[in-house]
Amino acid sequence: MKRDQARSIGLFFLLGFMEERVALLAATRAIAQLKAEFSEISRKDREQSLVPVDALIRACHDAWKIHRKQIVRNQLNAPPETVWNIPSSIDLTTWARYQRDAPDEDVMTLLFSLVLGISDDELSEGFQTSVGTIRYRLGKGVRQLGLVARP
Amino acid sequence: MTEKRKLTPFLAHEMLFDFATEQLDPDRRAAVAAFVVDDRESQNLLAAIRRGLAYAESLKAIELTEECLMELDQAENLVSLSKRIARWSEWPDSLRWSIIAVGVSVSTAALVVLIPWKSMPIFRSGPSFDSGSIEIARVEPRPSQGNDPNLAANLAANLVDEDKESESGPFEGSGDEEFSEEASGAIPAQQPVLPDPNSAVAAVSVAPTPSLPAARIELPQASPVNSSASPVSSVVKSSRSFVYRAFMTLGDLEDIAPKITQQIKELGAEKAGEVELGWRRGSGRYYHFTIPELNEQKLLDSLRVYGPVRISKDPHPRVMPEGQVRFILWIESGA
Repeated sequence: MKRDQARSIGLFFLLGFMEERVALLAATRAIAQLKAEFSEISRKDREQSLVPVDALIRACHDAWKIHRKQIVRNQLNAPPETVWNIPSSIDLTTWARYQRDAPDEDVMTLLFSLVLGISDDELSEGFQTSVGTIRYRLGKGVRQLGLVARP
Repeated sequence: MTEKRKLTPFLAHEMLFDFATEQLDPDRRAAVAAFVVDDRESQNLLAAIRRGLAYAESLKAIELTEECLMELDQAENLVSLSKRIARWSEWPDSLRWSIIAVGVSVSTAALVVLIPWKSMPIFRSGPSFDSGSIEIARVEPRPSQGNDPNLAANLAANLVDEDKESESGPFEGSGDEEFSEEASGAIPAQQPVLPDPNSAVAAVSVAPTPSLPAARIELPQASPVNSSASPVSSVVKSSRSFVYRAFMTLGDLEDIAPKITQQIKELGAEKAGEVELGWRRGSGRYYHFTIPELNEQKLLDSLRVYGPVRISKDPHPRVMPEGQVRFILWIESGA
């Protein structure tokens, strides 16, 4: 598994949960699950070999369902501080407010698609749903995020 | 002429995301664009979507710290860990090479231990005799007959055609000139002339001659050799240009060797080579000495008390003084 994919998984959970401890637990679980599933990727070519995206989505989805229960819903959490470097131009409170109220499926879809750059087809395969559903979730999520980000 | 159907607000709002991301076909795109121009709510939603897209795009710039990435990269669970450990290619190179080295070492050691080296002539240790040597007697220990004056008559004489074997093995590095002569081939091997195997007396009489170095005659135990002189002595007297080579294998050599040395000295033996009597080499003892011919039988008697003695007689260019014989005795430690 490439380090870039580990970084994507970490960012997905940190933004998705906005709680450092639970996010790292979930990310660790997802990465470990992928390593177990794709153990034939040896240590030497791990830096070059990509885990299939649909498997990555499924692993993240599974870990999300398990660890989401540890996050209090509809509560604004203080964003993690020590695990990432945030450019000064980004105001994370906008994201925190959106993440607090948005449905889990919308948040996951939006993060996978717009932050991690995964295509609609790969998302539909990973989530085992139609591309139309993915587009609908994306449209709803982006619109909601834009409304929250209104100056 | 047909007029185009106008979009409903619901359809237009649902297509705004695709409109903003340019996923609509030209007709739909034109219809949505026309609808947005006149609809204030659609304009606000489109602006929100574009803001949301821009904000989401900015989130890509967030980078995780190196420590966090390291922690994530090391993530393992029981399944992944056990699978990784079970994979030989995942083991550290140093461990893999160590295991291979140990395996090779064990295999080599097992080969060395299991191969019966001593049964291979080329690796056989201890003194051996070339084709030019004659084993003239094999003296078996008979403790009850230690003082029997007729002992010589009861000895079973074996004249043995010895296979050519390496002489240098146990004697290398002794500094004794006898070894260097043997090693340099100073004593040429001669073609054997077999005597009549049915005639023990004839064999004994002809065996010591240089022209008959490799005859082997097994004498039956019951065969009466009624002679007051020992068979060894009868062989020896015909020539003085020879050396006796005696060979023994004894179990408790550490204790016995000093006794043998003492007994040899008491029989008037004089060191003939450059090393002392009972010189230790490997697991054996080496004796190179001259002894009065009269004490030769006593020497053999004293040796056979400890175990079987195999004796051969080799031609030798060095002529011994009258009444003296030269012995080379090698005692190998063994069961």
